[in-house]
Amino acid sequence: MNNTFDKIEELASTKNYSQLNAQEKDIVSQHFDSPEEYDDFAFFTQNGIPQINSGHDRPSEEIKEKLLFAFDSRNGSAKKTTKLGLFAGIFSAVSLQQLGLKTGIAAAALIGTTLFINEPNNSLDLEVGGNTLLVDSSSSMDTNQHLVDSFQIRSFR
Amino acid sequence: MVNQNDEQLMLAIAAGNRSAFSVLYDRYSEKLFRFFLKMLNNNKEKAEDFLQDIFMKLVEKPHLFNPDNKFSTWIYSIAHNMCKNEYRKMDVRKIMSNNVGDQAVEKPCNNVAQEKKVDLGFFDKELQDNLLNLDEDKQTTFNLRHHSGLSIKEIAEIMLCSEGTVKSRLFYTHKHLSKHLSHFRNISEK
Repeated sequence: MNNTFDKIEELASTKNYSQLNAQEKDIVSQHFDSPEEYDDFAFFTQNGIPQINSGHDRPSEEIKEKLLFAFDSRNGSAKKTTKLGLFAGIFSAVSLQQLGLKTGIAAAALIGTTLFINEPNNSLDLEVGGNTLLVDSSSSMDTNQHLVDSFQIRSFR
Repeated sequence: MVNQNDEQLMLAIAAGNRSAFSVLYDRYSEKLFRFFLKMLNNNKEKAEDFLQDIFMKLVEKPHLFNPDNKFSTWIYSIAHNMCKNEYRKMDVRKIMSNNVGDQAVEKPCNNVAQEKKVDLGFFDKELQDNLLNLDEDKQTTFNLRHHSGLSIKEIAEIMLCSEGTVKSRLFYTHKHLSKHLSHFRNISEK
């Protein structure tokens, strides 16, 4: 059967129905209801599938940036910071008064710091109110500030 | 780094090489994105999510790749499984079928003045709509062959079937499409 498919594809790539000999017409008739149907198939085979819209089908550039950020975090290739620095960074990035979540954030920062000690790379999972935020110690304070702000807005709004 | 093959890049990625990851992303992101687009009814947002997820797997678990195998086969196998899981989870096919009616466009007339690119736009839309009438295996086979440009052998490995099955699926898909898209012949021949 597979040889038949190959044979028909081969025929269709070069010949219309009127160009087939009797034996070839016999093969083709086993799979097509009419000469017109075969000719449609032959036309499709000979012209291929137009590659269209390929110029517009591009993913957002942001995806690569996010992935590279994740790659750096996972591989610990970013600069080192001390746990004290990270601790201070979190507290300076998040104003307890602004958030109004003194207990939660303080607890989360403590948990985060503890996790950091055992974390082989430079990131930690900061859990607040059942949600997890990945804070990368390699990031600038501004970046972490942004992450925390985004997280706070998303989680507590 | 750009001269290295995919498998060498994966080894470098497993060793933490950032440039290798960047090169491999550039090499495959558009191809995989287009594959996801075709498999997910041109849902760009979802296709981007899937693209991000599949590359996150490379970031998190590059060691899962066996360098004795071909990278393209491996990555498309993952992509294929992601789509299958999505179909199961969301019953996407049902939604897609409903959407076909909503998004239906008029068939093009045989007006020779019609712009070629508009014709191709219609063709692509109808091609996609007609593919949706086929089963998932035929859709995937067709997209891997024609949109991703993979060989019959690679598709067989990705879909865990024989090369004969791939040929058979392609044959019946081509036959189905050629029958339902025959009205484009006049436009293409003009």
